[in-house]
Amino acid sequence: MEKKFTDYYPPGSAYYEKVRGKISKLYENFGYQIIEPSVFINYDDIYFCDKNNSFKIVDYDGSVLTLRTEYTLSAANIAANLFDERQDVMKFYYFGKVFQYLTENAGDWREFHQIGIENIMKKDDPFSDVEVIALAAETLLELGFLNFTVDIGEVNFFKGITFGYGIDDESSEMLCKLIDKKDYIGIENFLKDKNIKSSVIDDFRRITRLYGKGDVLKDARVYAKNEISKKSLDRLEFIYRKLKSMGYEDYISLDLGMLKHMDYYTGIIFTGYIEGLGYPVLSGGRYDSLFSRFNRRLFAVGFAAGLERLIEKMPVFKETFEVYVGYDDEGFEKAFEFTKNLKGKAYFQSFPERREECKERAKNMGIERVYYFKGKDIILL
Amino acid sequence: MITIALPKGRLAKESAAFFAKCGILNLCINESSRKLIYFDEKKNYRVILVKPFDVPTYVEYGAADMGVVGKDVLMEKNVRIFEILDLGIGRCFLALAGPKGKKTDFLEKKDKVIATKYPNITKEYFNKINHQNLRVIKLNGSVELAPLLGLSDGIVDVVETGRTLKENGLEVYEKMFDISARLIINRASLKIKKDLISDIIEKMERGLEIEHT
Repeated sequence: MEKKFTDYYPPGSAYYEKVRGKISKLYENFGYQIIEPSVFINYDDIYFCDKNNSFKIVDYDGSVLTLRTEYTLSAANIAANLFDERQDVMKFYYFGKVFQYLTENAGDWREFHQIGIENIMKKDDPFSDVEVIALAAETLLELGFLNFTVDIGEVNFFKGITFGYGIDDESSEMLCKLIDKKDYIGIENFLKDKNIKSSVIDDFRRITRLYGKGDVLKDARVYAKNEISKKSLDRLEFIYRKLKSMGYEDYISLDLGMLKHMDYYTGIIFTGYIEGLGYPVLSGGRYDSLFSRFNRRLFAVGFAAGLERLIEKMPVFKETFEVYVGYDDEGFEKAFEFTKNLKGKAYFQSFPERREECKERAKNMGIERVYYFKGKDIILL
Repeated sequence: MITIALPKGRLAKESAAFFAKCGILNLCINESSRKLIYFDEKKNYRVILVKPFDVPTYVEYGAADMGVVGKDVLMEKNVRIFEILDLGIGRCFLALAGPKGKKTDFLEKKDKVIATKYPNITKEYFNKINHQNLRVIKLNGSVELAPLLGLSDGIVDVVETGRTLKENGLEVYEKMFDISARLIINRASLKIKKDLISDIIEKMERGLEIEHT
């Protein structure tokens, strides 16, 4: 039978708890607090791009709900409700399941775990961008990855350029898609049809090649002809320098042609890639405009990572029992009492067995320390 | 190591020749062989041969770092990859075609049936010209047969020389899009293996420039 749903069972299920332990500690060290938003969201409220692949439920009164497809919207909603004027910042992290249909090509997923943080502030400050990107890199390091990159872009660089050349919104949306694909030829054909000067076409084509390490910033200056673009480069340079001085240079890269969800992100954007996996494992950015839907003026930056993809490639945790506890018919009470007080993970046998059986089973499970309770006696095998 | 996905068939040979000309790798693809994986002598490259429609899938999920595939396939399958270069090989065009001499009948017919390997491109194309009542039948090959057997009124397919159409009593009604082979690259690979891949792109760009002059 076709397997439609995902069950989590040992040993895999234990990995999620391990990850939870590691990342909670990391995020809590930096003042992030856990949130657990409702699993339900009003269908009308979810992002347009998520509507198609979300799961719809009819509520008891006939209204349509969906299961949450991600956490940021709920986190922003919570912050908008709780934020009071005396506060400077609200920091949230989350760990849990989201529900979204990912196509057959992508492996036919309906549910997966997401971890992430949201840093929501009263003002816009580039230091919070640095903090969040550094924590994105730390998240991957904490999970044991060494060969990865957090690729960083800035949406205002492109917004400034299209604004400067007087390109209308509809065209710039199309252009975004082409540049994001680094589609050299598509850009040329598209702009030629719009009667755009060839020097401008060349500029847009060259933007697709603005990726790599720090020198990209220097190359990009040529295209930043107005204040919007210039400011975005200044900010990106500040962020890059800070991350470099913190020792993250090997784990970050730049791509000014990265243009995702332009109507959503308002500043830096970033995507995490690990070696050996062809698709992004982490995605984030600054999304200040989201709060206007809650009639608040707040500034936020955050990221989310899909755990299934990461766990697939994670260096395997060794999950073994340290102690085996066996007993005969009369030894049960003592054995139970003993196990209760044990430190470390014990395998407690669920039926009485003979001494030789106990030894054999422990050996098969690869457990070296074996306690056998024979009546009132304890024997170390 | 860099893994390159090539579409089985003539384009694989043409691509291999182009890679050789650019000084990237020398590979002899034997069409009669059943081999699906080839390595170069230094084991810097691994070339895999897959169905054209699977090239974008291999590249999108990173099973291959890069691939060569026709623009027609990329238009049909909307994948998240980088589409870096037009290799100028495998030139052909996508056309709307049907039985010879029946173009007016076809255009006037209200509820058209079209057989094609490219249902998405076909629907989008007819959507743009506001044609309603279109029915699309997806076939996996020998599309030219469909109008002859009454399965459809017309077809949307790639045309290279037009010989297949002609030999089956069909003709081009409308030229839709020019097609050529593209170099596509996996999003993560471009970033994680930047130096290796930039080197390949540069060599190919130089190769293309020489060709143009």
